[in-house]
Amino acid sequence: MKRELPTEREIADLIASAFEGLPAPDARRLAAIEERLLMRPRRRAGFAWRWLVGALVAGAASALWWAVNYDSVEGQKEAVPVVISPTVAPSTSDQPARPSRSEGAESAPAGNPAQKQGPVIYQRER
Amino acid sequence: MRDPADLIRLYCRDGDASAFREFYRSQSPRLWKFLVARGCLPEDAYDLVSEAFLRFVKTVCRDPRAPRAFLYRIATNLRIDALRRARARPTEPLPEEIADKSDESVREQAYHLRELVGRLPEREQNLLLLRYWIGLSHQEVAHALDLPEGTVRRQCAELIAKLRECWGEDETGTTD
Repeated sequence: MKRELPTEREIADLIASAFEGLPAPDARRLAAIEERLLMRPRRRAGFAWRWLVGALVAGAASALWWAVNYDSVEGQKEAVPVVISPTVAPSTSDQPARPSRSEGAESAPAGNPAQKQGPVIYQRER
Repeated sequence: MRDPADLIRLYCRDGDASAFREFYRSQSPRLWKFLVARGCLPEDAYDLVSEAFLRFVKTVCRDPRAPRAFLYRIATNLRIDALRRARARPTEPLPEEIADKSDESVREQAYHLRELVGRLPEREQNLLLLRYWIGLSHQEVAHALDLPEGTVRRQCAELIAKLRECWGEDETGTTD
């Protein structure tokens, strides 16, 4: 039987009609698949994004709080009175240079009990 | 019927199960037919539809812009995997089309065209069917088959011309 040669446009249209004519699937089988699909809990899309946005907002809020309150916090730190002890301990710069071992060996006799007890604390005379 | 992309957008944004149901009901019969047309056994085609939708529903919300292209991309890849697994098995011949009331000559043409399409390489068959049967745009076909859009446009035109040429050659063959 001789078939007429279709145009390109007709071939494109024929493809759709040729394959659409195939047998249809069993509706019950497809419905069973549908039920299985819808029974599974849906993964919450963008869940990770929500956490990320939450962390960023919290960070920004924290940064803002510090920007506003930084001066007052620092001011409080400065306002703390410095308690000075009445007994003035000599500063390290005032201390005379520690005698070297060789000097100590010369000046102090070996086995001096005062030297064994600990370092001598010098105090400036007033 | 609502646009498939809108349905999936609703599903992803609001968790609208009815939107997904509508999408599934509009796409699953054709996806099954597509797989059968690509040489799947009808029974295997149900499994592939199920697997394709399962993967689809897991990942579509990452980029819900072209859901149909995405679904067919998954199905095509699953089909390729299934084909590799059962390479020894010969491709299933297409089932007989349902007895319809259409003109005998139209049915004859349809049968002949299916035969011609069946002779094409796997990738070219996918391209033709997705474009002219499933009705995906060039861009969507490009997305589904992982090809540049320009290549899809060019190949579609070339394949239609090739089919027409084959049709003409067959005619010459039958008349000789």
